[in-house]
Amino acid sequence: MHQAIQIAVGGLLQGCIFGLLALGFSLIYRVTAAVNLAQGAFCIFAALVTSSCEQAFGMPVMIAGLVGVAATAALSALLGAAVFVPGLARLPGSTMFILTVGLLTILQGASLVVWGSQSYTLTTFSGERPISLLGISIPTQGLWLIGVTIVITSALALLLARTRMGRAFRACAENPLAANLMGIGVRRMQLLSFVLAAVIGGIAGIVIGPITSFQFDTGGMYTMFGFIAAVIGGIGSPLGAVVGGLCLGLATQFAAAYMSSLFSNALALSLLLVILIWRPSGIFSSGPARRQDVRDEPRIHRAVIRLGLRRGLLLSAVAAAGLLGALPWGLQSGGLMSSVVITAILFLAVIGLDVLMGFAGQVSLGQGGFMAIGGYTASILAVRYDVPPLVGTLAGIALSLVCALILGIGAMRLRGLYLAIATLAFGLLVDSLTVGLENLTGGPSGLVGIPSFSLGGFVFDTPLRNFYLIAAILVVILTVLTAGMRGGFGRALLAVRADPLAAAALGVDVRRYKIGAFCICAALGSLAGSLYGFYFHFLSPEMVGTPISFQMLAMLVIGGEGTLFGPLCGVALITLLPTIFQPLAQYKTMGSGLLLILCALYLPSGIFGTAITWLMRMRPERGGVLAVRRSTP
Amino acid sequence: MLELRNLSAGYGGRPVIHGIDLDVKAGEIVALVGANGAGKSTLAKALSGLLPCLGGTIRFRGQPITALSPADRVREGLIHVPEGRQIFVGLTVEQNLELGAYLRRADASRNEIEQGLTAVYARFPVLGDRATGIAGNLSGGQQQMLAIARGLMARPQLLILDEPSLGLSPSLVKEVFQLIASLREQGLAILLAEQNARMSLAIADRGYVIENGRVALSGNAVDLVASEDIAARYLGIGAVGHAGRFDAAIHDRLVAAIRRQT
Amino acid sequence: MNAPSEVPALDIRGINKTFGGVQAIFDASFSVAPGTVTALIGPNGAGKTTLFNLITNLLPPNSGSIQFFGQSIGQMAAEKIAALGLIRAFQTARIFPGMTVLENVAMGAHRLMKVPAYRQMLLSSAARREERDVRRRAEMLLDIAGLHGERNRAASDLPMGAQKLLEVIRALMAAPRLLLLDEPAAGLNDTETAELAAMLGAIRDGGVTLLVVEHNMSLVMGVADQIVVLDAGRTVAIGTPSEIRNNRAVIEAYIGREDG
Repeated sequence: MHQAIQIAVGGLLQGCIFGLLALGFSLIYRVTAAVNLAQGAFCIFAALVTSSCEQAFGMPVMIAGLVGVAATAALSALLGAAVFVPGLARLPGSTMFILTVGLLTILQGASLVVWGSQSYTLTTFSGERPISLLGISIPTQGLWLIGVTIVITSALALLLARTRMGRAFRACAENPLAANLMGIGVRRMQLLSFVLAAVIGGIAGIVIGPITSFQFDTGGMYTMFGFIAAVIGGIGSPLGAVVGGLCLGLATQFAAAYMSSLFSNALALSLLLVILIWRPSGIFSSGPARRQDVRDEPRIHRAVIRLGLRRGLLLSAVAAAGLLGALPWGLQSGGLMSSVVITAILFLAVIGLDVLMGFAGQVSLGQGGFMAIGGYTASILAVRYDVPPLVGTLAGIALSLVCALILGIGAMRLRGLYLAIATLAFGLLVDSLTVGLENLTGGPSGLVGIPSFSLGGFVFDTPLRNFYLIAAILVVILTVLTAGMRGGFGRALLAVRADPLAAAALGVDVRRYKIGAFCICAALGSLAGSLYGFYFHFLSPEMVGTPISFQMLAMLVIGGEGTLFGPLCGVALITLLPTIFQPLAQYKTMGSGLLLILCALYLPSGIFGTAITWLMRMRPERGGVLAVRRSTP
Repeated sequence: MLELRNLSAGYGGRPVIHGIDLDVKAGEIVALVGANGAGKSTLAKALSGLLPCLGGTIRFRGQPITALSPADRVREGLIHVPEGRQIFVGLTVEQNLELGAYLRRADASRNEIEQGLTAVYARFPVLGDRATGIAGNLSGGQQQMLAIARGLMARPQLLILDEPSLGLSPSLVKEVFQLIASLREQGLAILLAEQNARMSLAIADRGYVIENGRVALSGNAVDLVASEDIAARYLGIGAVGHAGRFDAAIHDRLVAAIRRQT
Repeated sequence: MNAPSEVPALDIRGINKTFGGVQAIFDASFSVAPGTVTALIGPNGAGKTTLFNLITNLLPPNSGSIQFFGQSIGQMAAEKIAALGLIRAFQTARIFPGMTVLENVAMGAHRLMKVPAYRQMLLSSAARREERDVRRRAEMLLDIAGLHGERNRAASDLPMGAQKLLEVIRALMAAPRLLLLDEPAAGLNDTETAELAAMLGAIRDGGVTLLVVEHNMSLVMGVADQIVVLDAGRTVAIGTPSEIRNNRAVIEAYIGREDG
């Protein structure tokens, strides 16, 4: 009993942390109807600045904390005005989501450059000695945490419910155009909510700082848990954020205590999946549901770029020839050749993502999870049971398809944003399994001794042989998909993306098409994962984890959605550049975030799409490429 | 009251309306008519500041307002009731109306707002009946009334109405136009952008015909309707029985095309 | 009359629908004979669009039966109903943004395309033939509608009136047996409305049964064979145009006193 109470106290504190992290999500969602995945990065930024002030200038923790919060406010104002608010004015919801992935990446990358990869903690606010109450011990920082949570939650609830500004916030989320006509400065309100959320996040980061250690990329974790708490509680409601946080905190603590810490993450994520499917709007939904209608998005849609079939085949030939042409050049240095092979493998996975996102319009943050399933299934079968690589690869694909079907049937009822969350939860679940199931996967240190891919006695054991293998697979897949996307199948996918209701009214089984695209995406991810393992002879969780899912998203957007060939530009840029220019390697994360933001904001059809449009404009008489759509009146 | 000189505006730097000259005097209804996509809504958005002006000037009550934000234009008394109603569907009717007076809340007392609400409910009894109901549950006609009422809550000097009769039944269309005519009697100036040229010119003092983003014609409303040539050529009025390009040959081709498919 | 033609294209019996306690559709019943044009009129908020949503099952009815050429479709998913040939156009044209005009029209043929996706991907000759046929028919319909020159533009770049026309063309591409149109004349001027009326006539002559929600009385009186008047969710009158024209209650409630 006593132990249970002690665990409950732990869960309460953990819950307050999650709740504080969730508040920022709710505030921004309330005003802009967008989800800001960079929220966790602001917490870490504030904590890192505070830590530097403490250590470098010897400031007391409270003063250092104020500096940290002020710095966070300044940074968020800058990023909000330069990226977030302009994005809201011109991007549809799903792209907005990706834009904030870019913000998260850029903040993590910058933190890596400034603070390195070591971990930090902060000094407790009032002494280390825990208070003992009826035999239950509570750290003093925990009391600070509870106090701050109560104060911030009530202040925010009052602001939203009782003040003129709160009503204006609500109006901005309901109908920005009408709010503007009422004389409400919509952009100012959006920026204000962004900064206010960052400040709340910063305070949270500093209060949590003494309890858990943190490093440059902890922001990603904070984002996940804050976001999950917000969704469980009902995104948009401050009370819901805290209740969601408490549910999540108690569940994870009890699971960790009575089962194992492996299952604590798994439980949190399963809880999220159950809530998503059972009650998509969360425990407390904020007011009546917004009417979801594609007409409500008077924003830039992506460019309409169409190439003739012959042109598509021509391009695939050019792409293949280009890759082959790069070979002799790459042979001179083994490192570059290896990067070319990695580029080709990742390209395969990103093509899958393109079918799902670029055509069917669904966001997946779990592509790394499918790579992991494919990679680990094939590798474990080969290492432990001597199963031939081809059979292992097919088994991986089959397992991925089963997962995709289960996830798809559950989640495809939900709209854009929620599918992204469900796939994110899936990816994280796979992450925790690859780390946790040590006997099977080798745990965090990875699985070694994976054989090379072989086919009927022919072993693909050199980078060059691997390259030819993957290039052949790419040519086949690109040809097949180009044909599919140009015909009725691709057209139906585009229709599902553009207007699911109108598509259904023409006889399109929207769910089936979405699940079909999701299965293609999962199968290609799985195939790429298997090839990854066979090529490296080694597979570790961070090679196929959630950060890779985010990176592949960036590669897709940078290359150009809905173009099949475009992702190659994005993959090559992010994979090859740091190899060619070694000094750049340190800036890789930051650079990919920056490129992602720039492309999302200014090149809606990516590098490839923009290049094609530009090239075709030079020769308009050849036709084949259509008007690029810039705005919706 | 409102003077436009050589005004151009559009989306993403591409002008949709070019070199518009237009005036609205105090207490008059000016109708803006023209085909779909002629640029009426673009003009309305440029006036309220939703779209930036690409050239030319807007003067309102003698002051240049070309560079002002939408909020500052609302403060000056220039109110735009947009196409498609654009009410806050998730808020109650009363919250919608209070948001209409958003900028007045800074200096007006709660009491003045209450008076405004009372006056609106007197004019639109149906809104009073459903004051605490969710605005999204109102019918199309009621939503249009709410949009106009919300505009009135800001105490406008000039009301820009964009397609107020779109999608309304014949009796409601009449009701809306009667309402607009009655607003003029209170001394309000109104710029009315309407597809329904016949009805809007019937209540307007003057009219401008917009074609391809330019003023094709302007004059007294009575003269515009009276000239049959103008009415048929620009306004598509009175062409009943004349089915444009849809002649017998096209009819037969369409019938054949449909038959072939089934 | 032979037996099959006596089966109504659409038969609605005792449909009810409530939204959060408010009865939106109250015991609505009427039927539509094959090859005719039926107009559905009534004040705003009478439930016309709701009725369309119930017929196409974008909203599930609370009770009642809906039969499409004798087949019960009340419990069927929206895409299944469309696959049977009951096609609708929406009140605000719902063209697919991000697709070209031609692709939008070709999309209408979805229910008629039988070659499975994997054969399209393998470029089988059946798939190529089917695709070529769809494109040819789409181009022909676009040519008839006068939109052929715009076929490669982004559909969302078209003006509103052309988008509405495009949506009708897209629906025709599906070879509908029953076509539901929701306020096709909204936002059109007199000339365009007359064109639309002529087009509706041609569609009927082509053998397509039409159910049209419309406020424009000259259009309704001109093309409808039967008029159904809906008020506050009830079917208050059903009759020919001349019967409705002389129904004093309908005129006063809906059209207004001065004209008729």
